[in-house]
Amino acid sequence: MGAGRYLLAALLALLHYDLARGVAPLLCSSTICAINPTLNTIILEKPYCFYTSSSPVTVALYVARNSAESNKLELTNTYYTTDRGRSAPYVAATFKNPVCAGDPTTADIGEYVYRVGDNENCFNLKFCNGPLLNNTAYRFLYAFYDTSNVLLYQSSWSAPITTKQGKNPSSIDTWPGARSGGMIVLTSILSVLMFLLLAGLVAAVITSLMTQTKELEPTRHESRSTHVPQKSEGAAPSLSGSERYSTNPQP
Amino acid sequence: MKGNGGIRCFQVLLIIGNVVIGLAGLALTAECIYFVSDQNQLYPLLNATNNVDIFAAAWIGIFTGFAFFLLSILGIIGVIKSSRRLLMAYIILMFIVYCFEAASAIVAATQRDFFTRNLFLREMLEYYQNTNPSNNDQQSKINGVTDVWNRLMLTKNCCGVNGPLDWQNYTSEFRRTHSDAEYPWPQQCCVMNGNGEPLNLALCRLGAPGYLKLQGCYDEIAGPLMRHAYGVAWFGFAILCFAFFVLLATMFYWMRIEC
Repeated sequence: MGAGRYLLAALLALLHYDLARGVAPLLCSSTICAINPTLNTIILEKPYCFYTSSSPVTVALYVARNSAESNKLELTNTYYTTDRGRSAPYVAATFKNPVCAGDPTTADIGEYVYRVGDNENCFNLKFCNGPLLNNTAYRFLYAFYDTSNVLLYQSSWSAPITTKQGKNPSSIDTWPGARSGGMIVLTSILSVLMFLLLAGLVAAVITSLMTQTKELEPTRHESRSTHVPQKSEGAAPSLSGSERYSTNPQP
Repeated sequence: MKGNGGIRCFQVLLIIGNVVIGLAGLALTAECIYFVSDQNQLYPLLNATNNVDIFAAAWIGIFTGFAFFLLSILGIIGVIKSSRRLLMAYIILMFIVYCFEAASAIVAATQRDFFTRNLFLREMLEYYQNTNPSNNDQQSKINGVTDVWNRLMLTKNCCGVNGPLDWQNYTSEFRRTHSDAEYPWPQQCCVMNGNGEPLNLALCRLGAPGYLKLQGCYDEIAGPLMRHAYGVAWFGFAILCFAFFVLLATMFYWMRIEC
């Protein structure tokens, strides 16, 4: 029923004003607002070319939860009197009807869009644009009033737009999962090399011990015959010392 | 050994091998010192997640690199003198240092796998501007993480780990104390002018490109850490593979000295 009434109103508006279009508030384009909606705010495009008139026109932005009890538009409804849009649509802001003149450039993005939920401290303001709730669907509507607050035209309600819900950081799993191939290769090769080295060390010691016990005599002779001749006379004690060295590993 | 020429040739090979090990050891020390000096000052990020083992690996690398250098001198002297005792000491000490260096390389390679996006993301959400520390230790970690993140986001032109959406997709300690209306993301995420002030705070809050840094900081964090850890792991590995053959040859030489 309600939708039919708005459609009728839109048709009437169309009949009365040729330039009016049956349109609804849109989310700010993602090329301009990269992250939208956020946890507590939703950025909307301003009603460019929704309604054109030569006389001064004020636009009121109505905000309501998708589950709002009533859809009745009241200029006196505020953020607080409607329990943040739970009972009825509230007026988040009023501003001058933007001039419909070509496409707005990205230079005046701030003029081009309106951030709902922007104002945290609005105790004394007539219209409060307070933060929206997390993970809640909202609908928006632009209404156009003349200077004596007579409703000239209203857009249709936007599709429900849901604010974000932040996940708990403790739900993030930091475990790396699968191991990288490089790490596995490196670890396994190094383990094998270390094992081989240890084996080689043991083998070297054992074989040298065995060969020394077997070939003790020739070893001693050889080493003596190569080293001794120069110092055969003068260095008898040192000779016996070196002899002791070479036989040392024997036991 | 049979021929004198064969011995000489073998000795020369061992000496060259030891020279290479010594110089590579010095290079390893230098590289590990570079890693430990932490040019990008990322240590607090790892410290807060108790993932500092990679620094331990680098410290071990400093020690083993220098030990390789000293032991290679010992090895050269041992080979020239053909002293069984010197060479035995060389082999045993080399084996010990070898084990240390293998541990260092394995730790570095393993720790690299831990530097995931989620690790830094969770840490950032839980530590950045946390005003509710449970003890002094946590307080110092919080200060460290907050400082590093502020510096990264300001100087590296990035925001969050994956981008500003990190501050929206997750609740965080930052969000607990900062409203979404005023700070959808930290102010450091805004593109700054020359004076270090946001170019346009309102547009930054809208998330307009050119006023908000949209790319994440993960590459700025993990990039340097990964690269350096890669060096510690694989350069160490290369040295170990080379030292393996030199050590085997030295053992062979040791067995044949007096036969």
